[in-house]
Amino acid sequence: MSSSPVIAFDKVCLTLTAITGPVPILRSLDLSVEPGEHLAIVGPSGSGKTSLISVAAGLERATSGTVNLLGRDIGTLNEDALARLRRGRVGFVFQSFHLLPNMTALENVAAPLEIMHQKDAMAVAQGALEQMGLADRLSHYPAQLSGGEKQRVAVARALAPRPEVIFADEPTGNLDSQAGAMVADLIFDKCAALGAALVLVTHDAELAGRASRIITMQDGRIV
Amino acid sequence: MSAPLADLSLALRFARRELRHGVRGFVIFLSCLALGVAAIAAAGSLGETFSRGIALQSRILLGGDIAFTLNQRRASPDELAWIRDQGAISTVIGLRTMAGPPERRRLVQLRALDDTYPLVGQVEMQSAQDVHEALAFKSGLPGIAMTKDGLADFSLKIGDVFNLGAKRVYVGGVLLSEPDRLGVGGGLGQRVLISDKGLTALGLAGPGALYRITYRVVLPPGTDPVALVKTARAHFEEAGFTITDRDNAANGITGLIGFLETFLAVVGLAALVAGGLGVAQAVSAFLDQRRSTIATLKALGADQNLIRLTYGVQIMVLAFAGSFIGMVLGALAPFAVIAIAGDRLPLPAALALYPVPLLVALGEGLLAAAFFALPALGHARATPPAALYRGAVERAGFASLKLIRPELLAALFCALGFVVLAVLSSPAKIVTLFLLLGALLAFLLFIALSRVLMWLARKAARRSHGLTRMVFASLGGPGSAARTAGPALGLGFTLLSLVILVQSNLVHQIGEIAPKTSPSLVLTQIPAAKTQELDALLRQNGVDTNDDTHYLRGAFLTGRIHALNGKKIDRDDVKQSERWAIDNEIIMSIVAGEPNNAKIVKGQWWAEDYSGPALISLEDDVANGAGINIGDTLTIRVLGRDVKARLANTRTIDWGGFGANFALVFAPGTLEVAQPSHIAILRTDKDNEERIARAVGDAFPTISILRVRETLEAVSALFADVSLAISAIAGIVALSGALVLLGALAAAAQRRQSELALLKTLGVTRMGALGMMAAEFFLAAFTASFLALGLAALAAWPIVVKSFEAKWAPDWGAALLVIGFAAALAGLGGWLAGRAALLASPARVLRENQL
Repeated sequence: MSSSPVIAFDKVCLTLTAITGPVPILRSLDLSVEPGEHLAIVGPSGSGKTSLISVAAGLERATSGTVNLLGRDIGTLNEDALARLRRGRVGFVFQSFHLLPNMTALENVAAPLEIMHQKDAMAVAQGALEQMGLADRLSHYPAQLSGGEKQRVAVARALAPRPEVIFADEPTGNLDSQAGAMVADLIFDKCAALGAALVLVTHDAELAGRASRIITMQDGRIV
Repeated sequence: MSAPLADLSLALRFARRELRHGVRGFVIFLSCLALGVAAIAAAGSLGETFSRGIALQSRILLGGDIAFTLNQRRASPDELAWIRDQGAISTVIGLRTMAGPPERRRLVQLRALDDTYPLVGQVEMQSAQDVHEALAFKSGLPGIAMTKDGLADFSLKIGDVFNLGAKRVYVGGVLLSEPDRLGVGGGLGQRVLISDKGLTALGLAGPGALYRITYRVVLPPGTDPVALVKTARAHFEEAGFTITDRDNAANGITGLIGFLETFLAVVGLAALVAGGLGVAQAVSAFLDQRRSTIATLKALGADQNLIRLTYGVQIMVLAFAGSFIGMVLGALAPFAVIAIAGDRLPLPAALALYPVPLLVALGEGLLAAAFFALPALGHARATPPAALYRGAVERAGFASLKLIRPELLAALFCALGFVVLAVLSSPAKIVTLFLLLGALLAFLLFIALSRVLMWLARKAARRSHGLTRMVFASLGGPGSAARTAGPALGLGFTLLSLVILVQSNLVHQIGEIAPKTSPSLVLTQIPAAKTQELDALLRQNGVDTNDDTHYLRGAFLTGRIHALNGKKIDRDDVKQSERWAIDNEIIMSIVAGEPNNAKIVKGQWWAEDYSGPALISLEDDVANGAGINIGDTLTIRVLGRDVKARLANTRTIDWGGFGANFALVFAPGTLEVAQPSHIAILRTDKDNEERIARAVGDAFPTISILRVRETLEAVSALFADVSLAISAIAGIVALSGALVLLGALAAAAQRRQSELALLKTLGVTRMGALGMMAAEFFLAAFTASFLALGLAALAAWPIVVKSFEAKWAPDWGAALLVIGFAAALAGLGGWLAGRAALLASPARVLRENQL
C-alpha cells in the first residue's frame, strides 16, 4: 500500500450547467485522505457532499483544480483509464444500493472481480457474502431481498476485491435503524480489517462519529 | 486468454445474465425486424421457387430445345430444310379468330398442331383421350379441343358442331392442359386446339392473314442450344425469325416474376427502414432502463468496450432472434402460397428451402438492427457514470455526436452494407437502388419534417396556454410521438398512397377515359378484297365511314426495322425505352392522306395521291431514341422481304386515343401488292355496337371482332385483382409503421403515467388528459400522412404519365380518406394509451415515481 494520500484535492471546483445557467457545486476544495483513514463528510442537503465523492472517485470531472486518486492525476485520464484505475481498487456503497437487477446476489458481488478477470471470482464472492451473513441468499435477485440485505450485498460487492478506498454515500439512509447499524458495523469493521480508506457521506451524526475525521460541507465549501 | 477475448467472454456472461429474464419490452423490436425480414425472405424464396420451377420445365414450356417463330409467313423450303437438319421438328400456328354460333360469337385463340405435337411433355385431355384423336376429321369436319370453361362459355359439349371463322368444326375433346401453355403466353379469348390440316380446311392462315408460326426443334443429345441459336441467328440474319432457346422459354413470365420479386423485396426493405425506428425506439428504451446498471458497471471498473460488448451482444442476439423469425416466415411463404393458391397459379414451382435469399434477408435484418441500435448504444457507452446517475442526459444532442463517432461510423457502414446487399441480391439492381434511395430520401424527409413539427410545436406551446399548451409541449418534447411514429407511419403511407394514386389513375383511365376515347369495336383479319364490301355494310348500319373521328380502316401488317441507311441497327445504340420498336415486329399500316389527328413533329405528310419511292412516317420517340432523322432510309422486313423506305415525317401518338395508332405508317404504293389484311376501328354507342358486331359477324365470319368494352371490363377486373394484391404487399410497410406507432404508444403510456397522474391531481379532467394524448398522436400522424400524400403524388405522376402514358386523374378522395383514417387511428391510439396510463391510481404512480 502506498504511503502517499489515496485522495488529494487541490483547489477543486465543480460547476454544472443548468437551463438557468451555470451552478457552482464545489468551490475550490483542498482535501487529503490518507491510506486507512476513515473520513466522514457531513452537511445539509445540496451542500456538495455527493458531488465531492463523485469527483474524488472519477465519476464526475472537476471543472478546475487537480484531483489525485491512488497517486494518479485523474484529470489526465480518459473514461476508460479511469474505469481501469477504479477496477478492484475503489469500492462504492450507495444509499439506493444500485445492485444490478438482473444478476443474483452472488453474481452482483462477483461482477467487479469478473471485470478484473479474476478466475476465482465466484468463490471469493461467495466467501464475501457468507461473511455478511447472506449464505442463504446467494441465488436471490435484488428484487427478492430486503433493504438491509441489499445493502449488505452492496457492501460485500464493494469489499470483495479488497479495495484501497471505499466511497459510501449515505449507506444507511434507506434502512431502518437495526439494519442501518448492522451495515455500518460491517463497513467500518471490514474497512479496518482491509486497511482501506473510507470516505463516508452521511446525515447521521452518530455514524459520522465513528470516523477518524469529520469534515462539514456548506455551499460547496469545507467549513 | 487474451484481454479482448476475456472481455468478450465476460460480456457474453453479463449479456446472458440480463437476457435470462426474457424479452419484455422487445415485442415491437422483434415484430418490426421479423416483418421486414419476412417480406424480403418471402420475395427471394418465391422468386427462386418460380424461377427454378420455370427453369426445370423450360424445355416443356418452349416445346423443344429451340424455337423459330415467324409472323404472317411460313418458312421457305430452304429455311425449313435448314431447321429440319437440326433435329426433330414440330410446327404450331397461332392466330385469333371468331368462333361460336351467331348469338354467341367471340374471339378465340386458335392453335393449330401438327402430328408430331408435342415433342416434349404431354397434352392432358379429359378421359385420357389422345389429342390427335380429338382433332381428327369426322364426317368431313375438323375436330377441335377446348377447355371445360371454354365449352361452358359457348354452351357447347362434345360432338357439337359450331362455326370457327367461316367454316364448321365439331368438338372432339375437352382440353385439360397443354405442356407449353405458359410458354406461349396468355391472351384474350378461350383457347381452341385444331390440327394443321383442320386449319388449312378453314382457310384462316392464308396470305395477308395475321398468324404466328413456330417451328420447335428437339436437338440430338449433346447439341448446345445456345451455340445453335447463335449459328441460326447468323444464318437467318435478315429473315425475320425470332429464335429462342429453352433458357429463354418464358422471358415474359420470368420478367414479371423478377419485377414482383423486386417490388416485394423493396417493400421488405422499406418495412425494415420504417420498422427500424421501432428498433431504435426499443433499444433506446431498453438502454434507458439499464442506465443505472450501466453506471454501476462503470463505477465498478467496466470500461466502455465492455459496456459496448455487453449491450451490443444483447441487442444483436435479439436482432438475430427477430430476423430469424422473419426468415422462417419468409421461407414458409412459397409453401403457403402454393397451398392456398396453387391451382390458380399457372406457374411451375420448385418448392424447396433456398438458403441464399434467406441468408440475404437475415443479413438485411441484422444490418438494419445494427444501424438503428448503434447510436443509442454509443450514447450509453460514452456517457460518464455520474451523468447517468444524475439522469440529466439529453441523448440526441448534436454536441454528443462527437463522443459516439465510432458507433456512427459503424452505423454508416451498416447502412452501406444494407444497400449493397439489397442491390447485389436483387434481380433488378438499378431499380432496387433507385427505389431504396427513394425510400431512404423519403425517410430522411419525414425525419426532417418531424423535427420541424417539434420545433413549431415548441413555439406554439410558448404562445398558447392550458391544455393546448400541454399538447404542443408534449409534441415538441423529447418523448414526442412525432419523433418516431411520424416518420415510420409516413414512409408506410407514402408507399400505400403511391399504390392508391397509381391504381386510381389507371382505373380511371380504363373505366372512364378509355371508353370515351377508345373505339367500341376493332375489326381485324379483313381480307383486302372485302374492304369495300365491309364499308358498305357498315354504312347500311348507320356508320359514317368517311368520318375519321368515328371510323378508320387501313392495312395491317407487322414488320421489323433492322437497318438504318444500309447499316444494321445496333440495339445498344437505341435508347432503352424505345428498344421495343427494334427488338420486336411492330404493327404498321398504309395511309394515303394526312389523318386528322396526325400530330406531325418533324417533316411533312405525303400528298394524298403520292406515288414514288417508299416513304414512311415514324413515331417521334422511336425516331429520336434510335437516332433516325428525316430523309434517312430504313430497311424494314415485311412479309419476308426487305423494303427500303425514306423517313418523311415523325408523329406523336396518343396511344389511349381513337386514331391510327401505328408506330410506322407507309405511304401508298409499296406494300399493297402483298394484299395485306385490313384493320378497322369504329366508335359507336353500346346498342349499335351489338347490332354492328352481329351484322359483320354474319356477313364476314372470318373477320375477327374485338369488343373493346368487354375487354376493358376484363382488364379492369384483372387490374383490380392485381392492384389489390399490390396494395396488400405495400401495406406491409404501413403495418411496420403501425408497429412503430404501437411502440410509441406503449412508451408514451409508460412515460406519461406520472405526467397524467400529476395533471389529474392539478385538476385536469380525465377527458382533458385523454384528449391531450389523442391530439398529440393525431397531429403527428396527420402531418406525416399529409407529406406522405405529397411524396406519393410526386412519385406517382411520372409512373402514370410517363411510364403508362395515361392521363393524370388521381382519386384524391380515396387518398385523403387513407390519410384521415391513419390520423384518426393514431389519435384513437393516443386516447387508448392515455387510458392505459390512467388505469393506476395517481397516488401510487406519484409515490413510485417520487415526483
